[in-house]
Amino acid sequence: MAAAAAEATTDGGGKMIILISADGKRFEVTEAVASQSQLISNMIEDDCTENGVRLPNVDGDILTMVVDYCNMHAGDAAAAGDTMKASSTEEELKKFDAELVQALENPVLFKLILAANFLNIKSLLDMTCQRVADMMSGKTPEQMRETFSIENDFTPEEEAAIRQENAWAFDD
Amino acid sequence: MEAVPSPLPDTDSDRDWSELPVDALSAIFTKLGTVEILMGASFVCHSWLAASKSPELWRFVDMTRHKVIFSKRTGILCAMAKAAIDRSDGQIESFWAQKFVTGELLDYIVRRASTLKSIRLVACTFIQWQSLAMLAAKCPLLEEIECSYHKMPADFFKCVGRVRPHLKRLRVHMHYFDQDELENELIKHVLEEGGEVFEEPFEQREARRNADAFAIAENMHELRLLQIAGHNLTEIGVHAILDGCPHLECLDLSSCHDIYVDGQLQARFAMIRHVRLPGLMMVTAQISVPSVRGSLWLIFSEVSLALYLRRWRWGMVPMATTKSLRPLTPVST
Repeated sequence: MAAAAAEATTDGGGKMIILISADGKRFEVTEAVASQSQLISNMIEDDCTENGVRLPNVDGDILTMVVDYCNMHAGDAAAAGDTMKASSTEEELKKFDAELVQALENPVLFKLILAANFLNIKSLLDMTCQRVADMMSGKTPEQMRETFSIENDFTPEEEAAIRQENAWAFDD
Repeated sequence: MEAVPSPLPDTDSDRDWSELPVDALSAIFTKLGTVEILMGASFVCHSWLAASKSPELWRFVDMTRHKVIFSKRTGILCAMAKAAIDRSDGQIESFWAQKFVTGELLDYIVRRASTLKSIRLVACTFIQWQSLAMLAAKCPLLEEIECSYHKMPADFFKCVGRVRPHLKRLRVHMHYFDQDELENELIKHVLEEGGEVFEEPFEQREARRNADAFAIAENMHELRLLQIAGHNLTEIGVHAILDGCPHLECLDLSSCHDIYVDGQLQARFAMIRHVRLPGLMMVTAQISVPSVRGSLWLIFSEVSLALYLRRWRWGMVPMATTKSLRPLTPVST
């Protein structure tokens, strides 16, 4: 069944691909949409997408966001071959990206980075990493640990050694 | 988000930020920038410290524009820069810095970073030109040099051009400084005091103004980009640069208010992909142009208006009377 669906074509002329999340949710997307993931793009080239693409480390909620993102951004890639289909305008995209990134909080942001990294979607990884970098910017190590709930795993001895080795960072 | 970090390790590996894959962490650190990694992110936990030591991250060291640059002591900033260079493990390609760089730091870079392709120094007024020329001599891959807001002499351009004839990008921005005004003020003062003023021959004056431009033109034939905004060079220097650097793709002459762009120069600029012209100089209220003349100026383009105003002002002091209108055809008499 999946194979039949995967072979189906849309009115746009692109092949359809089925993505299957860790919790079994299925997403049907065009090749152009899916190809924004370098990982899937390589699989398409190698012809290994016929039975759907299983993504065991991306859960359904996150994959929904990833698919939404790729659908919005497919215009850039697909426009060349499908000029009739109105692709999202630049402003719409900017607005979409800004809203998406603003809404991101721990732990969704964390999971989305993992997904973007695993699927190798450069623009999404860039955007989410920028959000994290913005959250880190101007913070002390202690404030960063608080923001991201990271435990200080240095022993007092290690911490003393770090302070000595990098005196310039702690010297006002 | 938990309010307080748990004293126990976070068992939910799904969102343990210390467990981010190295690739993703590297991507975040790259966006965070040199200073923030060195000052903060490195010291959060073991895995972040390890990630922050990846030489990949330190190929591009940018210590400009961060508030720390303006608040920490020079010694501390130099120590930070050295740490960044050490972490690059001999792979650094770009070193960009603002203000704090010393000759000693440049020597440190020379000894450890012969892979350098780009050095950009903004307002690093502690250094001497010889130190930077020495660095250029010792870094065979160097393609780009910036030394802005710290005036380098013509000898610097000569030396660098000789040791790195294949230099591609040179940026030497400076604040435009109205030399005429200062000179005229001085002359006025001397005359008022009853002193004597010797007129500097036009050619000599032009040679002095364009010494840097001539040095660049004679020694840096492979330049693709030249930013020399705010320089006092004149159109003679620009022609020399255009002759000497035939591969120029970008030429930034913004705020070079002593250049008069005539038709001939316009035509030559048309051959270059990106050119930034001197633009209109801010004309301040202290220049009082008689209204009759003022109406005449309106027939000129903005740029020539600014130039005309300037040249007309030269006419106000004895030394420049013969020159006041000559620059339209900058040939020697």
